[in-house]
Amino acid sequence: MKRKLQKERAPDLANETAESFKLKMIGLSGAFKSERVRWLIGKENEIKTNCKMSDEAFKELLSKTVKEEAERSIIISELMNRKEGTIGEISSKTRMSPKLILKHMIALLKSGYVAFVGQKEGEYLFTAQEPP
Amino acid sequence: MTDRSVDESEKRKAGFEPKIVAITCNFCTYAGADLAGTSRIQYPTNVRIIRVMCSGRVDPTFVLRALGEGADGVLVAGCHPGDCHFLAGNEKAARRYAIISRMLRQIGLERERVRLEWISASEGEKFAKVIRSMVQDLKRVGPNPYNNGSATGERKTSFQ
Repeated sequence: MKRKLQKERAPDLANETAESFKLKMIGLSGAFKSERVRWLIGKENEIKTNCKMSDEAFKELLSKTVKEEAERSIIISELMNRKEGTIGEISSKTRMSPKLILKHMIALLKSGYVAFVGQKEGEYLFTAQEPP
Repeated sequence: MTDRSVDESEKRKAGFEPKIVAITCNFCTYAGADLAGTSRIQYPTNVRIIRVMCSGRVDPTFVLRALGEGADGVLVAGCHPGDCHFLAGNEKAARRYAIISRMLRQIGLERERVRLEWISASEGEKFAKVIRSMVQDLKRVGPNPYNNGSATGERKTSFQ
């Protein structure tokens, strides 16, 4: 059954654009470079023992963290490519919802990975920067 | 699935020779590959070996980079559990492999593309067998669908 599902999925993959793959790869690479994900992978045993966390719960936590970090990496890479951009521009390029981008932007602003640089057509303009 | 997409997929698979990046540990698998060579054991030439000091050195980003730059499959191979020169490097590799293979399946890559194997220095035959089976699996699943130029149907890889 599993094999059948994989075979059915293959043609869709072939049609997927190189651009979309590039974004996914940038996201995953960024996620695996991030301190949060690396810390979680390294401390897996301690977390499971000390927090009495089941295997499934840990996998879920890790998946959620990787997803968040991947989305943030995609946003940062998009900002680096275009130097500055609004949430709407990033949303149209990355196919993420503006609401989700705003949520990540707030986290990135707090950690110093992005900064305000002005306004464009009533929207805030952001730019990527080296964290302090 | 349209007839056209089936044809294109078959065309891509016909005469396809997968490119495999094997990241091997210095003390076991690399010596095993060496033994396969000196024992004149035949195995496909589709593999490009990268030697690292321990399979624990293999970062998930290495695997992603290889796939992103056009490799059709990545083999991470190290010492058998308990035999690691650095005591627990291969256990770390196993933990990372579980995560990376799950994530790659989530973004749509087939599980056959990334493989973790334990091959000791005396298992030259096993090394050849693993490469043969991986080449067979990759020929069945076809080229890396996310290969550079896949959108244009053109095949470009950095691993020539």
